Amino acid sequence: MFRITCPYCGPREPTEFTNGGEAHISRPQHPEQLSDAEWAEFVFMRSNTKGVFAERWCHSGGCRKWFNALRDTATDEILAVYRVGEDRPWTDRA
Amino acid sequence: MSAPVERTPLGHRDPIVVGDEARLAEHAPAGLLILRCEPEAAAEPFRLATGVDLPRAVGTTGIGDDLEALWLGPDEWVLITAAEPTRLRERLRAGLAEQHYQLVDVSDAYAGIEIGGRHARNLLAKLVTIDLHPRAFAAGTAVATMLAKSSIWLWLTAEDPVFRLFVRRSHADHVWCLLSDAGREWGLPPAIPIGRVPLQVP
Ligand SMILES: [Zn+2]
Repeated sequence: MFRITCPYCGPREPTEFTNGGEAHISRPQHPEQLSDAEWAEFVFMRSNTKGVFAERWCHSGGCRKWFNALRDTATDEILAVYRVGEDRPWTDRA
Repeated sequence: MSAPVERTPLGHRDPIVVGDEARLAEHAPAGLLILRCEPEAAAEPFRLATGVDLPRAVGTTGIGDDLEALWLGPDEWVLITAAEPTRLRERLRAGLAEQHYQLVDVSDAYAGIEIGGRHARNLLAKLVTIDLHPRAFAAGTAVATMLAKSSIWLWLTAEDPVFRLFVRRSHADHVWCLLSDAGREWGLPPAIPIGRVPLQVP
């Protein structure tokens, strides 16, 4: 069965979680100084990875905390979960 | 003008008792407070104010005299009291005055349901996905999870077993009917929701 491990609550059903898209994208410090192209880069452009991908998840049906996960987008396997503010762990796959 | 009428969220539902097989009743504690704070700093002032150790891990609870604290998240708890919560609120405000915290009275926002009887675990297992086996969910365990599509807090208060479940008030009748329907193999009656829309049990 497919399970996601919340770093605070442990393994739970995927229906308890909400996906928040790609992780580690920082909001620009001074958006008012950006060109339209630079703003579009921040808002729309994502890496569209096939393979190990760092993304945000929220345990919306449990502790309601956001955290990050490394998921293989080709197999849906979750390789690691880590708390917001922690560094992205590296696996032997990337 | 007519006088205000005090109603509990499931006041229209009579308790259901099927021998010692399964039973369902509204359980409406007088006070529910949500506390959010940094536990590193606030645990000790909280203990001094209430006599209760703030639970610090998933599934855990802190039990005191007329106060139960359930862990909801790393910085969030629900505090349950059978007494009117004003005095507890004041005590916490005084005790946590030096802390960065948030305390919200949600007493009227939630409904409580007590589920008992020897089939209570099996009945709930039809509707929640967490492991309710005694080795994984012993008396004193409480979690925030989902029941069907509703967010709930589920707490096993006694090994009998006696579960207490809290859900948003507007979901109360829906969840009551799901529970009653899930218990039909042990003699619980089919329940017709307030809106008379037939149930789709997942
Ligand atoms: Zn969680």
